[in-house]
Amino acid sequence: MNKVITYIFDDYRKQRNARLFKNLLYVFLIVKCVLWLLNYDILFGAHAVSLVYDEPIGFFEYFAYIIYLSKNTSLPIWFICAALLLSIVSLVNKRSYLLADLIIYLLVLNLDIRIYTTTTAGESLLVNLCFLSAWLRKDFTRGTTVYDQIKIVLHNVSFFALLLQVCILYGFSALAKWYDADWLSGETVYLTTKAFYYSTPLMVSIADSIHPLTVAITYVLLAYQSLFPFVVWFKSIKRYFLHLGVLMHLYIAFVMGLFFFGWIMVITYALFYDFESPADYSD
Amino acid sequence: MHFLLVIWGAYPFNREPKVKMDFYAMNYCNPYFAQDWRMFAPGSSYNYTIYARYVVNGKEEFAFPIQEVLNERNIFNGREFLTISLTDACIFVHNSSIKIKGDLYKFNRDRYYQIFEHIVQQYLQNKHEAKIDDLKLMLLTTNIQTNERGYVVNE
Repeated sequence: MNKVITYIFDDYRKQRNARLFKNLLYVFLIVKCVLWLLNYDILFGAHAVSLVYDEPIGFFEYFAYIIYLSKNTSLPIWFICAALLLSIVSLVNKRSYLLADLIIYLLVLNLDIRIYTTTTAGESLLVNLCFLSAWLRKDFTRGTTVYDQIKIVLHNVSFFALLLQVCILYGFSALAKWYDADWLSGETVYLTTKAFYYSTPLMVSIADSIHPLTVAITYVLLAYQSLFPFVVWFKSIKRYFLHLGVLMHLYIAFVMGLFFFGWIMVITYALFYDFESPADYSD
Repeated sequence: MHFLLVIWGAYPFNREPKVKMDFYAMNYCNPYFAQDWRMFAPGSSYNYTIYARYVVNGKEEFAFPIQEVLNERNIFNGREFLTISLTDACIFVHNSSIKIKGDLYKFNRDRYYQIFEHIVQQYLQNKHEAKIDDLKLMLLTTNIQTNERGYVVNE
């Protein structure tokens, strides 16, 4: 119990990981905002592909549906520009601003809800990461006031919450796969490689000839996702495990075409990675 | 507390509220912390082709939206969302059609079909920068393992 209390109250934990993760998240948001602006018409404008239903939304939900409910097609541009500006300022600034991060979270949530037919699990993850990382610090100045102490607690709890969020993602993803016939028969990677919308023409053409390999990869993926929530707590094998995960997510980004999903998953690995400096090992 | 509700709400086999706790957890998660991690379970079993016939600027035209989007797929243009929305819409419409008995399909106020039609219409209007009229759609499905083909047309 004392160890837990010391861990939470004593000092900012995993400083390097937290700073790297927050900066990568801001870069990701900046890229996303730029691409939203480039494809504005078909995402948010007059030719928006996501159909809007005129349904009553409760008061509590309203703040997530501001763009969705608005008939004004120029409103999202202000949300995107605000998210872009706040992300750039937060990236270049050495300090963290809780309010700015919470505003980014609400802006991104509203934007993602408006384009609900175009999103993947990556967008859900991004929104949740934005919320949980808002409490994380990039500056680690220590003071003696109660507010300074609260900042330390929020940082440490938030960091642990982010780790837990990623473990929940992998754990539940694995659980769903254990009940799926295609995963258990080892056919999922083969089928996905043959599905031309999750593949490249080259991969589709060679899928039949690498069928045994795809079966092996299916089971490796199933094992990887099932073990992730447990293995990431063991320093000795974690690094190799994370490298394998990066490869898997780069394949998802570049071959399967789920670019943003692949990258947001890679970014979460910055939370788990053990850097080699002795200071980081003290955690 | 947050994670208790998130874990309960995001549990992969708990998609419809059955007990009180489901209701509380889902209301807590949705929309601010919404999450569903059943990624690729189930995975892809079909390839899809949309055949669209329509009138634009007084001229009859046809298009294959999915193939067009895949041909211009490029990781740097940020247009992966078009592939996702078109194929996801196909998957939902196809799953709905499986539940309909008989050879002809009638999507009467079916939400998935409305979304499917809307996505294709908006994609084509954006492509031509003009209004699309008289849009007719046919969804061609090909089973990846058996190569068996099926057609879904809203008759």
